[in-house]
Order: sequence, then structure tokens, then C-alpha cells
Amino acid sequence: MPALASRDQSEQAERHLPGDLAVWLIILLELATFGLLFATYAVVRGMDPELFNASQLTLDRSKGLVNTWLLIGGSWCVVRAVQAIGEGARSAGVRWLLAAQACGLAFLVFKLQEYGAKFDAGIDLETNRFYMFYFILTGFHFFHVLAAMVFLSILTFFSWRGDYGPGRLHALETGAAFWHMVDLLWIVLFPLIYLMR
Amino acid sequence: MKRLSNPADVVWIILVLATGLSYWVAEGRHDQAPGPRLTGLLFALAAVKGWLVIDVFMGLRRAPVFWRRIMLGWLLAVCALLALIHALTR
Repeated sequence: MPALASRDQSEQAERHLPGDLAVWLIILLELATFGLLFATYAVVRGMDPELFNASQLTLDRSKGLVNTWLLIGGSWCVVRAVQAIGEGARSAGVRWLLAAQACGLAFLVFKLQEYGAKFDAGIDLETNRFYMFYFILTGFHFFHVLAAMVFLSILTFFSWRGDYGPGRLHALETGAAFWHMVDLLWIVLFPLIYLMR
Repeated sequence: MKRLSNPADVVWIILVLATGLSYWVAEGRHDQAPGPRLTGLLFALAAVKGWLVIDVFMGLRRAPVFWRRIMLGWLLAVCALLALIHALTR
């Protein structure tokens, strides 16, 4: 039994939480906040499903699809960047980080176009309860993408300067964890706002 | 097939296809009565996608068990709760 216990202990020691503990605590806080917002949306929707279904049909769902692909693509690029830099391939890592930012930027541009089209049509937060949630949930998420973009830009600069490399990935993994959280939130948000009926 | 030896590449392809499937299934149903089956399927797909992001992209498959459990627990709880609320209130 002691042998088994020591194997468990060494296995636990080998397990590694990527990035800083602080970012993971922030992630938990963010997930709890968004979880409550998601549940509130679902409950309020249940009070007037016809209104929510009719309003949902006015959304540009194909843009929602493209935006989901962009965030997924951005997350994949960040994973490849961390892998490349961890293997000492700095230039490739920087290219992957730039590709991730291109995905994030395209997401933000499409989202702004979507908001612009709604405002042009006279639709805003006060139009009805669906749009109130639509703007609050996607807007809150929008600012998280923006923050993740800022973090990634800083990390790209430091990566390009050679601050990160094999065995020196802590900051990069910290930023990557935040980026993936933004992707994870959208994975739930997309069916909830754009597709569920 | 050398390119697909990286688990991140495989996961990316699965995520792209699962997202396309969610959209296709939901769009195909827009002229039909809404129902819990579609919502159940959408959140099941979201749970699978989220699980892959947590395990492979976030790297929690090799993280301390506590963190993996808490992240997957959040994902499953949220997806199940949203599908349940929809089924009870539609």
C-alpha cells in the first residue's frame, strides 16, 4: 500500500496546472458569473418563449457560426503557439500568436458589425427582454475578448523578444488559459442565444 | 496524416465540425415547432466541445484532478441546467 500511495503522490506531483493559480481563480469567478447570467436568461426566456424565439430569428445566426469558428480557431492557434515556444521554435510560436490575434480581431469586427446592424434597425437594450440579454451577455463577453486580445498582444511582444522558451512558459500559459476561457464561454453562449428555441 | 498526430489539431477539426453540426441542425428546425430534443442535442454538443477545450486546449487532462473536476463540473452543470430549464418552461 505505501508503494501505491507514493505512486499516487508522484503522479499528483507530475500533474501541472498550466499558468498562474491567480488566473485560474479568476476563471472560476468568471465561470460562476456567466453561469448565473446564462441560467437567468434561460428562466426569463421561459416566461415568454414566443418573444424570445421571434427575436432570435432576427439575429444573424450565420455570423454567430463564423464567430464561433473564429474563437475556436484562435484557441487552437494559442495551443500551437505555446507548444512551438515550449519546443524552442520562437518564430513559429510568434506566428501562431499573431494568427490567434487575427481570429480575435475578426471576431470583434463581426460583432461590431452585428451591433451596428441592430442599432441601425432601431434595436437596442430597451427594445425587449431578449435584446436586453443579447446585448448584456454578448457585450460582456465582447469585453472579455478585448481583454484577452490585450493580454495576447503583450505576450506576443515578449515572445518575439525571446522572454519565453522551453521551461519558461508560465506567463504564456497564464494568458493562454484566459483566452481558452473566453472560447469556452462562447461555446455555451452560441447555442443559448443564437440557436436554442 | 503526420499533421494530425497533434491532439490539438484533431480537437480543432472536431470543434469546427461539431459547431457546423449545431448550426445545421438548428437552422433545419426553424420552420418546425421548438422542442427539448433540439435543445438537448445542442447542449450535449456544447458539453462535448467544452470538454475538449478544457481537457486538450486548456491542458487540464494533465492538471491536478481538482481543477479538472471543477471545470468539467461547471460545464456539465451549466449545460444540463440550461437544457432542463428549457424543457420545463417551453
